Amino acid sequence: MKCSHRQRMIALYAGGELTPGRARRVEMHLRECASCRALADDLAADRAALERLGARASHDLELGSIRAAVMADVTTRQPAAGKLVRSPRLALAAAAVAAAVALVAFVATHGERRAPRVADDPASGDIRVIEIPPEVPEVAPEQSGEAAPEAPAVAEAAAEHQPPTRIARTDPPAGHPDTAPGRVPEEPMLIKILTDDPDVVIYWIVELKGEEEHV
Amino acid sequence: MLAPNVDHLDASDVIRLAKAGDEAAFGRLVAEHETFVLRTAWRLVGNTEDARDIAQEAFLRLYRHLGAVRPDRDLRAWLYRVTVNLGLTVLRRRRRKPEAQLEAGLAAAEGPGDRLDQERRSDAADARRVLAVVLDGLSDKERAAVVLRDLEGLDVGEVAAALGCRRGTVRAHLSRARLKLREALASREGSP
Repeated sequence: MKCSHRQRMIALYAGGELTPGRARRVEMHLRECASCRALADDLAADRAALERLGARASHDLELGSIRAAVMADVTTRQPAAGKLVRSPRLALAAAAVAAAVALVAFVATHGERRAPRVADDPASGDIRVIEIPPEVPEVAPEQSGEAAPEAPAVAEAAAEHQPPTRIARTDPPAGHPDTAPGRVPEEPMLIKILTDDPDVVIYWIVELKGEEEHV
Repeated sequence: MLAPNVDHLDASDVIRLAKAGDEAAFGRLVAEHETFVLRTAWRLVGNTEDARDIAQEAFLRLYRHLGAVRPDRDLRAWLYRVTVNLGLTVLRRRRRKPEAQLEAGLAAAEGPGDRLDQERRSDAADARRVLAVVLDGLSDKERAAVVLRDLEGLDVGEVAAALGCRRGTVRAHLSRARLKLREALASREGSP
């Protein structure tokens, strides 16, 4: 194995993250290869330097205390969730319903053309903004040459206690790229919704087929 | 000063009391954990104001989710995870607004003190600048992995829990990050 392939192993060896077997193999190689041995020594020194830097950097750091601010906020809030939600499963179900209802309520009632920002796509690290027009697209009849399409049957998410049943989508207006011949419909979208609790993550798969969608 | 009835209690009892709505107990939880939360947040984002906002939000989320916390559960692991999530959000937001960079607080804190104090403050300020520069070359996840493993001293499993990924992924982040840090430190060593 070339030394360049071992660099990552050596980086983990320097931090003590290798299994005993792999560590032994790295040590055997280090006995024979001077350049890898120098790299291992440098990486170990870097770790020590980083620790010292971290300690020195924190020396007079005025981070203070946030306890007063937290307690002030806590005492002005409603009772903690712990008093109301006694079951983790119920908390999970409640969080999922609340997140879905909040998202649908926002899209259906605000009349905005852009859906709320959703959680980052973990693969790309970029935020994906999804446009779901809840209203009739504003295509002037004189532009399309056709009558305006029917208003979509958008169920009203009247209140957070009344979950909506569906969101209707209109067909794309004439000239939209999706109507081009041979156009392959978009792949399903995966929406990842993060909640306050890091252990509760909601994944919502949205099929974009131009048909009514059920929430 | 904390109420006397919580000072002598062990961690699981304090959590139970906090779950039941005892504010003194929750205050003790904050006091016990705020230092590492603040420090971790600062090491992630390099900005005091953002670090305090992150720490405050982390404890408010703890308050909101006390009902789901088991008395025997390691609160540190939960708080690390929330802190890292919030820190990564700040870093992502900062990438979209490059002007919101590291604060001027990297400079030495001013104040009275003898010559030794002033030298230490100056040294601390230098260390913060160097740390900021070397960590700035890492991706957000690599930075988080290095902060948690090499600065906070968590083991690979704890880092994986905090980042919400597998141990193998943590090792990948760590190895790439350390090789990048080697390059950054080598170039600093070579510069006049």
